[in-house]
Amino acid sequence: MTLAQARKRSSLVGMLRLAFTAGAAIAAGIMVGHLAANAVTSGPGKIEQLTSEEVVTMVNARFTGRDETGSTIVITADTAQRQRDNPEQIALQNPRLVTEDGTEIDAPSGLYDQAAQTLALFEDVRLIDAQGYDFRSTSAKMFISEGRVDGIDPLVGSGPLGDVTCDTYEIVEDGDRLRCRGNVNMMIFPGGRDAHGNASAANTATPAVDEE
Amino acid sequence: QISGEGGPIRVNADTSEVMERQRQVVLIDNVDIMQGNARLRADKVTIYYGGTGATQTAGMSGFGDIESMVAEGEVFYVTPDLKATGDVGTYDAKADTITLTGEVVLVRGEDVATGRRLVMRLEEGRTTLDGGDGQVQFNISPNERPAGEAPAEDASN
Repeated sequence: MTLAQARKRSSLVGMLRLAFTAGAAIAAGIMVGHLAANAVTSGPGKIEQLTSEEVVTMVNARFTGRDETGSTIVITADTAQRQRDNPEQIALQNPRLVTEDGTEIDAPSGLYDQAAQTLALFEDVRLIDAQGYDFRSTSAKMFISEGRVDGIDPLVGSGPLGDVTCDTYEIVEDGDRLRCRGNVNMMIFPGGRDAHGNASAANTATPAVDEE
Repeated sequence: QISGEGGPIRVNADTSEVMERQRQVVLIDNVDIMQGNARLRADKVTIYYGGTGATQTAGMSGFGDIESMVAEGEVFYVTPDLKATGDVGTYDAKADTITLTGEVVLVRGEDVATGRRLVMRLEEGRTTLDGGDGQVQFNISPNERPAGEAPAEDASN
């Protein structure tokens, strides 16, 4: 190898070494830049926004809230599934709502709206409260923060006073008032149900009222 | 109670409201209450319970027993023996009476009487009608009576 060839080769190697070093520096720069950009835009602790295709299902879900008087309300469900198009709405299986004063409302299915703080219950809705009332209906909508229940389907129920059926109903003031509308039929037992040896109509689908 | 017999009370109405704290039941529009052989109809009926909390009666929590009832608006009270109408009807459990006031009309069989205040004692089955500041009017249809039976006296207030 002549001197000229050797000089030529070493300048080639030098150029290659330079190019390689520059390439490495550029690659490192790109990576650091990407990381920095990612960190700035996403911000620490920000939950990644759900895309509409993703569905989140919780098992043994539990939600707690408060009504207007500040008493706690707990909603549990076997499964809770966020809705595709509206993440605030959660479809519940076997939901059950329990209030501080011992009222329990459950149903096979329901829809909880976190934003509106409502719980809509469907199919076989059952409400039992501490005063001994036992109501059934095929739908109920709970306005949790207002402590109100709205029912657009017939109600069948029994309680300390006796039995009641009606077309629609509303329970307001945290269960203190029960309003029934349309074809209200009551059977009142003066002195209490057992004072007359009256069979409890709590379990029968329709109370003992004969049609006229 | 609206009948001396007692027993369960059957109620029909367009609207009802059960108020736990006040221990009241309000029935509104087309109210029809039946107990035993007595029937009470009115536009509105409010049932007041006298419970103070636990009562001896099993199954009753808080409401206790019926203390009184107030019926308002076209009040009709019907039993097999009589029919009576008035503007306001009040049942008082302690006195065991139903009192009708206002334009009171009492019909018994074919006899008709009008006055301002009718008091019916359920257990005794006794009825008193008075004319208030007016007179009691009686309209008695003398039908064929068996010989020897004295005709009804003419009552005046």
